[in-house]
This record gives sequence, C-alpha cells and structure tokens, in this order.
Amino acid sequence: MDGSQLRDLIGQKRPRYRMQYRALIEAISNKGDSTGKGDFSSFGAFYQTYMYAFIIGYKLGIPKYIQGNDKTDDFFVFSNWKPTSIRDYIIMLLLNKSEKFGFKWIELENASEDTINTFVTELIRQMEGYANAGFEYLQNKWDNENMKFRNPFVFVNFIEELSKSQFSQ
Amino acid sequence: MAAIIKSISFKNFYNYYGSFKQNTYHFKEGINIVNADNNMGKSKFYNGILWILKDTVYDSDLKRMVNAPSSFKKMASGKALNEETNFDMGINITFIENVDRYSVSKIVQFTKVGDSWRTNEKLDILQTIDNRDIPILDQADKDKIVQKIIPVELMNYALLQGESMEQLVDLSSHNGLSSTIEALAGIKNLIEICEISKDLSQKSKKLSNDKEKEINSTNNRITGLIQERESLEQRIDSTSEQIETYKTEFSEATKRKDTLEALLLNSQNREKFRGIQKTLQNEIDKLKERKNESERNITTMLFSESSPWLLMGLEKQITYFSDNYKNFIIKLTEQRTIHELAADPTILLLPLNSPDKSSLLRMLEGEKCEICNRPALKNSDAWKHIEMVLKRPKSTQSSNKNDFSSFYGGVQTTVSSFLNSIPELSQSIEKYRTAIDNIEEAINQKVEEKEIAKLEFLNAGGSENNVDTNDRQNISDYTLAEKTIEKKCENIKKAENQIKQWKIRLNQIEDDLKGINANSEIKSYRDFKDLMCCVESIFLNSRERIFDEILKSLEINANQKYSELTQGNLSAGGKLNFSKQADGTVQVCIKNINDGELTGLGTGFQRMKQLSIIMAIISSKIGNKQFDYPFISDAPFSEFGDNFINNFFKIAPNVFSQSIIFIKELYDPKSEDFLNDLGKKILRKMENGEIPGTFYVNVIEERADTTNLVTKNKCYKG
Repeated sequence: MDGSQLRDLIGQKRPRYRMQYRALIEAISNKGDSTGKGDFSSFGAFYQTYMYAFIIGYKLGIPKYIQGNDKTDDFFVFSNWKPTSIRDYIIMLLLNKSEKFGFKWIELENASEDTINTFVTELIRQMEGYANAGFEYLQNKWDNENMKFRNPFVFVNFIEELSKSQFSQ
Repeated sequence: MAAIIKSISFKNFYNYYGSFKQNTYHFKEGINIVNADNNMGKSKFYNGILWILKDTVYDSDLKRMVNAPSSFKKMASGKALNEETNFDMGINITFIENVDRYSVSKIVQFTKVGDSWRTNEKLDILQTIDNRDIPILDQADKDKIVQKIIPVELMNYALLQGESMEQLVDLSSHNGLSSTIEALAGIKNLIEICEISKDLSQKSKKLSNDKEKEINSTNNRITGLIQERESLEQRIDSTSEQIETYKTEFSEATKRKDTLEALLLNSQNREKFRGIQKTLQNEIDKLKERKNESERNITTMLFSESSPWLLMGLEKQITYFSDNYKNFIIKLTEQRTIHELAADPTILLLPLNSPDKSSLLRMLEGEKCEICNRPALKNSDAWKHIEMVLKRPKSTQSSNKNDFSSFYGGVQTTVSSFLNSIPELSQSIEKYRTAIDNIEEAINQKVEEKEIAKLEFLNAGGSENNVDTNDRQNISDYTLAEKTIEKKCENIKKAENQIKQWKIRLNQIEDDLKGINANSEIKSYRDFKDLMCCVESIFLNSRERIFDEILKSLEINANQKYSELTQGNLSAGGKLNFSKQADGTVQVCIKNINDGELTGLGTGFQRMKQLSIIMAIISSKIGNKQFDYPFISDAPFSEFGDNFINNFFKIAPNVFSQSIIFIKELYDPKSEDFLNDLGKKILRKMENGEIPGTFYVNVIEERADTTNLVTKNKCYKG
C-alpha cells in the first residue's frame, strides 16, 4: 500500500459524534450557509463545527472516546472536508500522537493490510475522541455560559483561552 | 374728558377672598404699581378689569379669552366655594370723569343647590352728584358709563397684556391700519366724502358723455373719440378693480407669509435636523452592516486558507511532525540498507557522512582520497577502492510491504505553509478585533450625533412620530406666498402703468374733443364733469396726504419713544422703519445703522417696539396733552431688563395721565419687604415725588394650594 492509498483509506471514513451533541451542532452550525447569522455566532457546515470541536478537544488533551453503546451520527466523508490544508493539519496532529495510540510509522511500513485498517480505524477513533471532548466542552459552555455565544468572537475566545492555559502549563 | 380710576375692589374674586373693603386698591394719577410674584393675583386683577370693560376673562387653563359667565366658578374664590354656601363674588371700580364720580360693580351671587352652584350676575352703577349716589337703571346708560372708563376704540391701546402685546397694533393689515389711522386722525368724514365725490365724478362723466354722443351723433370723428374714451374709461375701471383684487391677494399672501414666517424657522430647522438624522441613520446602517459582515466573517477566519485562527498555539506541532518525519526517513533508510545487505553482503556499507557521487568522481580525477587525505594514484588499490565505492550497486526497489513516505511528505508539505502564519495569528485576531471596535466606536459616535440632531429636532418642535409633510408644506407654502407677493406686486405696477398710459391717451382725447368746436350746452356738461373730477382728486389727494403725514409723524414719534425706552441699553436696538407696501398697508421693522433689517433681537426689543408704537399712537392722538384714559397693563415687562423698566417709569407719566401696571420684576420673596433692589429704588423715587403714583405689593400670608389661596395687599405708597 502506498501513501495515496493510505490517504484514500482515511479519506473514506465518516467520523462520528455522539447523538447527544446533535442539538448543539445544529445550534452552532448553519447548514448550507457559510456565514454565521442570527443572535448567536455559528459555523457554516457541520464538518467545520466538527473540526473546531476536534481542535478544542486536542487542546484539552484528553480524548473522550465513543463507547460501543453510544448513539452516534456522522456526516460527510473525511476527504470532502474543507479546507484541505486544515484537514491535513488534523491528520498531522493525529499522526503526532500515533505512537501513543500504539502505531509507529516505521512499523506501518511493513504492516499487513489488516493492521493498516486497524491503524486507520484507530486514527479516526482518536479524532472522534478529541472531537467529542471538544463537544463536551462546548456543550458545557452552551448550557452554563450561553450568553458567551452572543459574542461574535466566542469561538476565537475559547481557542485563545485554551492556548493561554496550554502556554501557562 | 378725562377718566381716572380712583379705586378697584374685589369680593371673593379668585385669590381675593373677603369683602370689597378687605381687597381695595386706591389709585391716583401717575403710575400705580401692583407688584406680585407668580400666582399672587396679577392676571386675576387684570381679568377683573376685562370683566367690567369687555365681559371677558383670560382662562389660563384654556389659554384663551372666554366669556366671563362661562368662567364664573373659576373666578370665584376657592376658599369661599369651600367654606360658604351663599356668597357674592365681584369687582367694583370707582372712577371720575371730569367732575363726575361713578361706581361700577359687577357682582355674581353664588347659591349652593345640592352639589352645584346657582349664579346670578348683576351690574350696579352709581353716579355721585353733589355727594348723592344716584343709581343708574337704564342698561344703555350703564353701557355708556362703563365706556367712559376706556372707550371701545381705544381699548386696543389702553389694555395691554404682555404675551399678546405683539398682536395689538397691526399696521400690516387693512383693518388694523385703517382703525389706527381712524383712531388717530378722525378722518371718517373725509373717507365718506371721498366716496361721494368719486360717485359724483363718475355720474358727471356719464352725463357729459351721453350728452356729447347725443349731440354729435352725426360727427364720425367725435363719435369715434367718444367711443375710444368710453372704452378706455371702462378698461381703466376694470383694471382698477383688478388692482384691488391684486391688492387683496397681495394682502392675503403677506398675511400668509407672516403667519408662516413664525413657523418657517422651526420648519426649516426641523427639515434640516430631520435630514441630518436620516443621513446619520443611513451611515449607522452601513456601519452596522459592515460590522455584521466582519462579525459573520469571524468563523470564516477560523478556517482561512492562509492564516486559520483555528490553529492558534499549535505551531510547535509542525516542528514535532517534521522531526518525526526526519526520524522516519532515517529509520526507513537504515531498514532498507539492512535489507539490501542481507540480500548482497558484498555491498559496501558507507559510514555516516560518506562522500557523494560528485566528490567521488573528483577524488578519482584528482587521484587523491579526500577522506584520509592520502594520494590515490590511478589504478592503484586506493584509486580502485574509490572506483568500487562509486560503482556500488543501487537499490531500486523498496524492501517493505508499504511505502507511506509520500503520505507523510505530502502532509508535511501542506502544514509547512502554516509555519510562518500561525505565530502571527494572535496579532491578526487583535487587528481584526480593533477594526470591529473602530466600527463600533464610529457607530456610537454617529448615534450620539443623531441623538443631538434629534434633540435639536425636538427643540424645533418636532415630535417623536416625525411626520414631515407639514414642514415641507410650510416651506413650500412660504415660498409660494413669497412668489405670490412678488407676482402681485409686479401685476399692480404693470396695471398702474397701463392705467397711466390710458390716462395720457384720455387727456389727448379730451384735448382733441375740446379742440373741436362745441356748443355751449356740451361745454357746460364738460365743465361740470371737470369740476367733479377735480373735487374727487382733491379729496383723494387729501386723504393720501393725511395718511402719509400721519404715518410719517407716527414713525418719528415711535422712534422717539423707542429711543427713550431703549436708552442706556448696552445692545443697540436699531431704528423703527415704517414702509408702505404695494397694497397700501405698512410694515414696521427694526433697521440697523446701515439701513439693513436688524434681526435676532430679543422679545424684549420686539415688545418695546410695540410699546413705542402704542405710545406714539397715543401721543399722536393727544398732541402735547396726556392720554386721558387709564393705561392698564399686565406683565408688560416680562421680557424686559431693569434698564427698560426704568426708562418706562421715566417716560410713561408724560404719555399716560394714569397707568396701572401689574408687575413681578420688582418682587423678591426672600426680602423682608418683598422688594428687590429695583423695587426699592422705584419706591424711593415715588416716596420723594420723582414718580407720581401708588405702590402695592401682593402677599400670601398662609401657604395654601390654589383652591384656598388668599391674596392680601400691602400699600407701600398710597
């Protein structure tokens, strides 16, 4: 298997999220509209909300994996997510942690197709884990500090807050 | 004939609770001052006089004059209404006219019936002759006696209320002007004679024409001239009528312009500030849209291709990945070499930092090993070893199952583009925030400007619902009135010129007709006609001359009074200018020294202008004598400064034999004697005889609401 096949394999996946965040995602996304409107700040497509949640979860550092009995939902295949550069950045962030979730790049060079599939599944599981951690954070903010979402900079503020706390750590 | 009010008394009238005896003011010739603070009975006192003279009172709730009977309950003392079931409310004026003394009382009997009051008004007049009081019973006689206090035709000039002073003397209307000229000149008979002579002149013309036509019916030339003359006379008549119509239209337009002028400034201001508000609102809307657009773009900026804010603080991850990738490549190379060695042990393994192909070629050519710095002559063992290293077999095929290096490499290439932009994201966000803050600040500034404009708009009489049709209508009506005035003026001039031309031709016709031999009968008709025309012209010219002279003298007199009243004032008050209008009316304006119209003068100056004209009219009427009737004025000085008031007290006794002035400008509630410095000064002048007259101060002894208010008077100078 070569690099482009691996990319395709990852690209075909549909990252999932817990159903419990569906309402939140609906609330902070505007399907079919690339700009946020209304009383609250919001994203465009669902996958942008997902990418944002992933970054939040990644900054928090502890993935919240989807459990077997969790009700989940998914959307676009990963390869359709835009912009491509940020999609690659997410892959990079996950690859940076691949050893932690049990896969060394060098070992993958000689791994079987099954192992590669397992690796890709795990990579996506990690992505889901961080994204769900991000959704949990956002849900908490939504439930308890809802007024913050009236600030157009709310999503930037969360990133900034977490970047500062990361920096201070 | 000279009327002097000796006393005015009240009984349960407004604040004046109690008997006539308890509420009596004794007056003299000269200036009689009733000094009182607000709500202490000045206007109520004035209302009592109006009730006697005009049977009206000023209703301060309705802010207009009303018939006294409709206001009886308001006129009655609140305390009397509260405490009594049967009482009299009224006013008594005693006055002398030459040697006759009169007592005029208007009394309303109040009787409580259930919850309401029954009222019964009566007018009692006594004439004192040889110390005997004789009641006057006939209503017509009673009316005549009341008019002796101030005759109806002089009431406009003798009864003055501060707020309505501007409307008292109106020379800019035909009626106002005629009544003023009539009041001054007594030319009613002359006007009648003018009308009669005009009629006679026309009749004589007709008579003469008919006779001429009859006698000269066969003479074509004479008949032609007569016909032309008739035609011209008809045209002159109809054009004269047309001129009268123009004058009426001119007057109406002038009146409309004057009415609108008062509204115009506010209308223009409202239009101006309405426009400013609208422009500012547009600017605010645009700024808000810009702000919204910027705010909506924030989430877009999170995913920007060039500098995605989303990746803030994650730049180290790129370095980390780069290191991982480098390590992976090293490991991969090692792995492959080991694999190749296992397949072919002869393959030379080169140590780390071994020379590359070009270095090896250079070494072979230079016959020197650059690694150990020893010679390697051609075809020597050393030279051959270098050649073997150069020609060692190359591995072309990966020994691994997979090859993901291009995947990692691709990822690295993409993310490397963010290496420079991520560290600058904070700055980019801050710049964006500042830009939005600047828009917000601009919005706030515009909103503040709009609020100021709104305030100005409201100050100019605008209302919250901001209906602009009236203002535009006012402005357009004003412009229309101005154009009408201009046009009618032009029409009048044109028509007058036309008449002038026709008259020249008429004279020529007359000369021609006279040149033709006429018999004595026609001659006598002509002479009679000429005589009548002459008589008409004499009376008409006399009227015009009297009219002009009166106005000229009025202007001189008014200016003299104006100058006396404004003397010593720091602000120059200008000069009164009387200008005759195209319709024959007169406009009075204040001109500055360069003969330009002086605008922006305060209400004080405007009222002083009116007061000067009134004084001038009265002085013109009476010549060098004093005005024979009481001059009664309520709050005439409410807009005047001390200097005006002083000047008035100085010159008023020369014009009015008696004046009764209700004033608050001398009142000081904190002073023991309720007088301010000016009040004390004037009282001193009265006490030492410099100013003749009396000085009363109204006081409220017990604080109470308006229903129970009781005014008492203190006589400082009787």
